Amino acid sequence: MKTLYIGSTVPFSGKGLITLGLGKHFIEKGLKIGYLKPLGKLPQKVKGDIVTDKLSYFIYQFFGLDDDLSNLCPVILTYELMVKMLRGEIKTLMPKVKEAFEVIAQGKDIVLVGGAETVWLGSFLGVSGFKVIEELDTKVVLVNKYTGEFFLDSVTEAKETLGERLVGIIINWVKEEQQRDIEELVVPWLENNGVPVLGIIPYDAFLTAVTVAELSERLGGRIISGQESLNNFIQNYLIGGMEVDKFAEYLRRTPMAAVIVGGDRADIQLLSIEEGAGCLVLTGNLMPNDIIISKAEQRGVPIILLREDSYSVAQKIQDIAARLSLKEKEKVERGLALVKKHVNFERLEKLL
Amino acid sequence: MLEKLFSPKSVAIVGASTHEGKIGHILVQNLLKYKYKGKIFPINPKADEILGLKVYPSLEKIPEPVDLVIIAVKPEAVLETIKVCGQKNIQAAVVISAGFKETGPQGARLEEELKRLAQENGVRLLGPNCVGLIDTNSRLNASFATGMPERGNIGFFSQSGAMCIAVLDWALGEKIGFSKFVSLGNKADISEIDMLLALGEDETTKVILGYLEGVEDGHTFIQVAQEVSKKKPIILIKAGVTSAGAKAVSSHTGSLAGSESAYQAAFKQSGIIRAHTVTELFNYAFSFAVQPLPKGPRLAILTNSGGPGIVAADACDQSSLQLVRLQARTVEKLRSFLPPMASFFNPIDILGDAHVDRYDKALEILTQDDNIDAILVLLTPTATIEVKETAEVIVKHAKEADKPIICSFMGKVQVEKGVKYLKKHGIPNYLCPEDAVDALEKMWQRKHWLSQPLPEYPQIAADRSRVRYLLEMAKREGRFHLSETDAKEVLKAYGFALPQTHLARTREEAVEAAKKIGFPVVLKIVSPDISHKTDVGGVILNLNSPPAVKEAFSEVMLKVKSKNPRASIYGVSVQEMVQGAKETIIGFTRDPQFGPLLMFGLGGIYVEILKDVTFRIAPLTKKEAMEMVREVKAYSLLRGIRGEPPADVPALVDALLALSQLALDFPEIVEAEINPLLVKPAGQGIVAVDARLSIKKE
Repeated sequence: MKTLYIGSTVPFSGKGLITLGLGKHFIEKGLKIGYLKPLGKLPQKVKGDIVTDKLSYFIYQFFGLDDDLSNLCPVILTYELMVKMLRGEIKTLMPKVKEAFEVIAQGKDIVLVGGAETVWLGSFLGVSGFKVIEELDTKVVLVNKYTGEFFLDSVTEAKETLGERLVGIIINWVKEEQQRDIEELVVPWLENNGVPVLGIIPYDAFLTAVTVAELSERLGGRIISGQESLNNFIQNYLIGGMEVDKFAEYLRRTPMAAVIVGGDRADIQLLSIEEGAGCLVLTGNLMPNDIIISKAEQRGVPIILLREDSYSVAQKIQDIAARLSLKEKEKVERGLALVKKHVNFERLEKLL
Repeated sequence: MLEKLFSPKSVAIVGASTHEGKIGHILVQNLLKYKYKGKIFPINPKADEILGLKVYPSLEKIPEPVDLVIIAVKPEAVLETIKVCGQKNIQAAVVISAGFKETGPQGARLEEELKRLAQENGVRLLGPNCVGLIDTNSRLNASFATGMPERGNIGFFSQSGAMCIAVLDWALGEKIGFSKFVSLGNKADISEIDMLLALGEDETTKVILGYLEGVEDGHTFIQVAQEVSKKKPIILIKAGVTSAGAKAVSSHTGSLAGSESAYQAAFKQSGIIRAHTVTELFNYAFSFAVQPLPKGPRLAILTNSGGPGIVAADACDQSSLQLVRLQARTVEKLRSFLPPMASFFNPIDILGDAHVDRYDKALEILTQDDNIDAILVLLTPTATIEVKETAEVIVKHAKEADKPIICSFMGKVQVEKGVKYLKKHGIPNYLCPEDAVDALEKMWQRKHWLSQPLPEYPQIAADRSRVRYLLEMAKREGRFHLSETDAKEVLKAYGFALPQTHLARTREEAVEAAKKIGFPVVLKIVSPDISHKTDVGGVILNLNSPPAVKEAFSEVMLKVKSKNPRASIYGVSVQEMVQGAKETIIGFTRDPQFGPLLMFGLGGIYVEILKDVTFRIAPLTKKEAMEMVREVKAYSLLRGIRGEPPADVPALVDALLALSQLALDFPEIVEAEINPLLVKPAGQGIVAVDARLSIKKE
């Protein structure tokens, strides 16, 4: 049996997607796989009243696993857990992790261990990534986006700590303008320092997209038109606070955009509808003209009505855009296609 | 075209009313009052007689054929009526009723349905939500407006009903004649394009006037206007040109006002004469309706006082007209009868003590001078001048002259009789000389437009398959902005020259690159986080030696880091320094109404601060491209000033044509900008230094 820890030194690097991709690959090869995430942060109640980690549960379902769900995420970092740890009411959590791992590992060809945000998270609980790797005796693949010095420092430290356990790195979310430096400078440096590069996955803005329905839900809005287009994907955000000619330029340059605009700006609203914006987000709780609503209906452009002012809405949206959500099928499929195309599975398997 | 609408043999009014003051009553009243010659069938299930006419309970019950139906009932009933029109083979309808698109989603759906039914039943439909139409030749007043204009040769259409009513009332007061008068309303079927076509063919219309808020199909609009304006002048007001106006249009009609630049270009390219105010609209219309076009731009001004003459001369100088220099023969003839104090040169001042005979003789001489293309007669009501008689003399000469004569009799009370006489006999008179000059200039521009050959669009050779491949790759990878490298490759495929460029990550590499390219060179920071490189000190020009390059490299790095510490940096690009070239910007965007809108301007402050840019809609003719270049105020910089050599304008024109072709070939490119496009001295071509291309998601 083989064990592979999928971790990160840079947070929000897209481990979830890579885990799905690797697991899918092994399943397709006919291997029996197991999966667990020792430390989770997003609790979700699932069947049998078990509380587990949200993303892990998604991955569990995707793989079609049938292991006991109580072992899927043995430690969930909650406020209560933190308090108990600080007061010294809990001594050690590692045995829980090991126990869960052993149950899951039974009869498997390979077990994927999902890392937390970074390999350092959970140090104060005694279940940091580094500790878990050592205790469970796993190999490690790092999934990192490239962030310059921090990337270089943290990978250096990981290599020093993990030594031969580190089988390689997958550089994720590589933007077009980074590509040349990564290929010409970073990859040779990593290889020379004993960190095999197992994949360079290009950035795909679509993966950061959310549907209009989800956007409206997360913003707490009310949808007043375009019900049939709620599955439109939104990938960019524009604030319509300028003159209409100027705004037209931005709009044309920005695909799949949600346009955040005051309810009284009929000109910006119309332009956005005509140019086929992904949706309109109207702030200040101002109902638009009837004529605008009918145009929007005609063109199938959803309108979300909100109470807040444009600035607060923009702030909320920043949070939404920062995290990748893997809810929608289209996004998962597109992400998996990227993993399949850009990860060197052959080399990975040789190193395992 | 649209005969059934304008000259029907019979008219039915659905929603005719017995109650005075109701629209359904006024409609019947107007038909009777203004002596419509055909049959009138009022329809109302509850009445027997309206204004002495037999009333029918429904359209079906009319035993005779009906050409036109005027509808003033509730929106739902309008739809039913259109269906009956189909059964009864009625081919034209005027829908006065409101309650459609202008009222909201429900109304918009009704309007869509109305449109569909009209099409299905073969009915051409004016409105809904309109005032109606008037045709002074068939004596048809199918409107609820008050009054009927005199017969004339001006055809007028308007997107605004209120504007129709106001203009009509004003025309009645001014005794301006119209051929047709049409309120377009919501334009569910008949639009400004149909009106241009119909008025273009209409023999009773000599001048087409219109008030527009927006155009739906810009491409067809330009094509039709281009054809029609070769036959007769089209003078239009386009409302909603300011951002405040545009907002008002949007919330009033639910359509975009469109960008001012696009309308400006569209009007220019299709020969439409643009009026900016209602006054201008009628100022121009007057002259076009009654006077012949001038053969050239040469204007003579005849005046009985100095001041107005000077004002007119100023206005002329600021226009495309020329203040003609009189021939010696003409001057001699004038000298022979004018007092020595008079001015024999243009403007010709016959002095304040002039009587009508001086105007008479002077006009005799001026109308016979072939060097003069148009005459402007100014009159100030001095104590000596016989106003009415002067007007008569002008009319007499105008009849014989083969050039336009227009007047500005200044004042009000003293000149009234003369002005009346002039107007009655087809001589336009303007309150002030500037307006007169303005109208004459428009006439000269039209003459010039008419002399232009039909547009010819040059064929541009390009490696289209290469561009298609690059765009496909970008689309497949979900990129909506081409990388700089790809964008430049697209331009290369369309024949643009690019500067030699190398990436350098260290100062030593920078020196190597500079040596390869040849000095002098330019250094530019490469960073996705910095869009205005010059602003942060990220560009250093004119580096002549290895040490200079090394130093510049450190300086660029330092400046960028201090101005923008968080920017990612991916090296420095070393570029060939193009010398002695002029910086220009060319590009295009896509206007929602008119399609690809090309832009040209001189780089630096000329575009950004002075907004000195010109626009045209693709496709471009070579001549139009040339005009774009010449029209910018900074054009003289390209011609070369203070001993500089002129820039390679022909190469610049070719670049504009190539970009126009790119815009047409690849509709998915929504925006392009080449900034800067360097224009080298004559014969040396252009270089596209930086380019940005965006593509649309399918």
